[in-house]
Amino acid sequence: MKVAENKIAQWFLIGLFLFSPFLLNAKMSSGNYQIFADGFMDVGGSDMNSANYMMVGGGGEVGMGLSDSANFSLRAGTPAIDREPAIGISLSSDSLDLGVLSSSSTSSVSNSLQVFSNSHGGYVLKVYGQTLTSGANTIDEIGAVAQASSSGTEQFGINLVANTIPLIGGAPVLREAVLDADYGTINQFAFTDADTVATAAKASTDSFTVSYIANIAGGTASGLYQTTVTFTLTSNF
Amino acid sequence: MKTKIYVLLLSLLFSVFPFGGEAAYLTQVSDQVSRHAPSTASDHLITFTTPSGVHVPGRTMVVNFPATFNKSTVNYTDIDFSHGPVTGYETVETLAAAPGVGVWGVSWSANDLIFTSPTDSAVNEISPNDKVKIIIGLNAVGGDAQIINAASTGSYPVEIDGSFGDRWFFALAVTNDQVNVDANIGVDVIAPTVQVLSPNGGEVWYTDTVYNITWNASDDVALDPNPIYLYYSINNGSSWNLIASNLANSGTYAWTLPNINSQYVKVRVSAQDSSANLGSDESDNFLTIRPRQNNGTTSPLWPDGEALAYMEEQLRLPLLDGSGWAYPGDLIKTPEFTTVYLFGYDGMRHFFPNEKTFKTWYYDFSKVKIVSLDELVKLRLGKNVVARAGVALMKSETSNHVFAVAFKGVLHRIVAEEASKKLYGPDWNKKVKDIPDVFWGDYKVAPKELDGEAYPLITLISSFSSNYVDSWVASVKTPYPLGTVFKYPNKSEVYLLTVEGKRHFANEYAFYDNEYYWSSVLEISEEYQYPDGSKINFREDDLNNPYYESGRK
Repeated sequence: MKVAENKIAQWFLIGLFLFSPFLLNAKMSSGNYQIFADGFMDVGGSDMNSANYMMVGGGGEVGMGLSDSANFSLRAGTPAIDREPAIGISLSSDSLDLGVLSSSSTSSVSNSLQVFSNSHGGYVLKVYGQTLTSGANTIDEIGAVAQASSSGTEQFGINLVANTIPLIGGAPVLREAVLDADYGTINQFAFTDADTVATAAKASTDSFTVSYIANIAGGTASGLYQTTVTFTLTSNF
Repeated sequence: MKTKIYVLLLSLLFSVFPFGGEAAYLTQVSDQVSRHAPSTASDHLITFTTPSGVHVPGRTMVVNFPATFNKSTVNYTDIDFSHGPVTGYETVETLAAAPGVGVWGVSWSANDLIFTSPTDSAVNEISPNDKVKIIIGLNAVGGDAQIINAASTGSYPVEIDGSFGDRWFFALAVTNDQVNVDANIGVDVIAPTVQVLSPNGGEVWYTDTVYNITWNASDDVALDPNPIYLYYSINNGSSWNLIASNLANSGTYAWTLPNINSQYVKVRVSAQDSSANLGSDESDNFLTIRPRQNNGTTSPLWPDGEALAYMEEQLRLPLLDGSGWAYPGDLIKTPEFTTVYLFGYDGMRHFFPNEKTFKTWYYDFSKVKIVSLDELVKLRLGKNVVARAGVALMKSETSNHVFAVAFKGVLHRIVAEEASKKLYGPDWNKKVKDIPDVFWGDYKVAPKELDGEAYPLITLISSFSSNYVDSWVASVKTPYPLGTVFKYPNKSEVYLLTVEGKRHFANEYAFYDNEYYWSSVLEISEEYQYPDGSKINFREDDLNNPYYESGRK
């Protein structure tokens, strides 16, 4: 009986080490890395990447991820966050020229946009700005609901995919990101202030081509039209 | 016994590794910013969910901003603070610089933005699992100040912690976040296309003579009715002088050359379109402009005006590669021999005795033109070129006597080493060039020797040239011969000592145009003062043409 009791105690202790996520409320660091959050119990997890990537595995961890109740919240294990939180956004150019607009054809131009977040909560990419404006004159923005390009109709819009009409843009390279339908449909364009153009539910690095199109009507006032488009990245840590 | 040991270990384990719940992690932590751009003001909306909440007075929530973000103008009036179970905006707290009854304190401590709970806080001041919203900047009610992003791009971690017990992190990105998009409807923003055809570099033109400037100009829409503006520069484009304006786009303009002398001339043609866009082109390389007039002096070998042009047309030699012509005044040689000649206006070729003599005139051989031997021998041999005045000291190969060189190959012996040091500095010997004895006869040795003392200038020149007659030369004393290029200590002006007095080089282009080099400039004592002569603004053939110095003029 004593032998049985000992074995029970042994297995309980081993089990405790294996399955209890120790919350050591401290940073761990070396010369090359820093782990902001605790949790070193990752047995047989997946996605154990190189020094340049994140460890997002956690197999073997009981209740990995968020554990919420009315009275407590727990972030268990390494996957919560395994290094300094980081986000980034990069635009390939800060000025674009749609050239001379015509009521008989669509003007288009594009640049590339890269987004990065190592947060397990992912990110939200939004676009801000007004439509093309020349003094008191404007070219109608397409709005939040995507439309096809239509020559002879005032339109200013963007999307993030490879289009054929007009022939502009490239296919996005997505790891976790999901394009908003209004900005992620081929040959469909949208634009309105503070719209979400892409989201990611996990840590991700994604590359997009942002295509800008403009159409004018026969009566659109002449002039030099300009606008500034701003992209913001908000990540959920 | 073993059981007791395991129980003991188990107790120890629990005491060393406390389980979660004592200090919880914030969840759903984010900061929505209005701008990512470096050194740019940005609004912030910081959101998080606190598992623990706040239940007693004096508890702090701290947002640790990066030190490189400028927070100096932001205070509690630029911040909104709210919380609630669903949106986070259900309860909006009153803020002040310090906590009070029903009032949260908001303060900065270095980079820490500290929220301190009210002095009368009770349980569920902030309920567990409430969402918390912190608005910083212009979106806060009454907010008029913003946090300025760091100047350097990158990702900046931010920590939220404090005595309320919960903590977590988020990151701020600083990077270029904007694209300026331009478009044009019916407005011409494209400048005209212009190409200068002539002069496009390499030409030698003469003053007071008419030459055609030619160009092509066009526009994608329409040029202005009189769209052409012509300019020239003598300083490689640092400044431009108007030749003519509002010309028709005829493609040619007859330019009567001004009285300048420079080998660094460029011509610019500008064209304006109907939308006032201006397009321009310039000569690809330098045009040389030389004077027709002989500065008032007369010589049967130096004809003026059209006679000179006619003479040059008659005397010119075709270049070996067929690319153009060698004219009087040019340096020429043949492929067969290394000998370099000066093509004289007398139609003769003048021999440079050696490289040392050549380099008193020219920095290198880049201006030498190649002609065929058959063409070269059409020119009779003239007198040899002598060393340039003021540039070097000379001695023969068989004598230790050292001579200073004045204009026209006149030599003044320097009587002693002490005098050489006094006049030309401790490294005077480095200026000494040997002249083979066979060429010594090309020079004239003046009776007046230099001993370091100042003499009336006229004593240095009067015995050699009746041309050098000027009232001032009798009264001015100098230990240096004419032709000396000099400056005074700690002064930038460079002068040439001539019969006019000291002539100031107006700028470095005038200096280079006349083939002088900084190593030629002698720094002399301010005790030697000379009257001001005319400024040297351009190339002057009297100064830079070995032909004159060889006594041909």
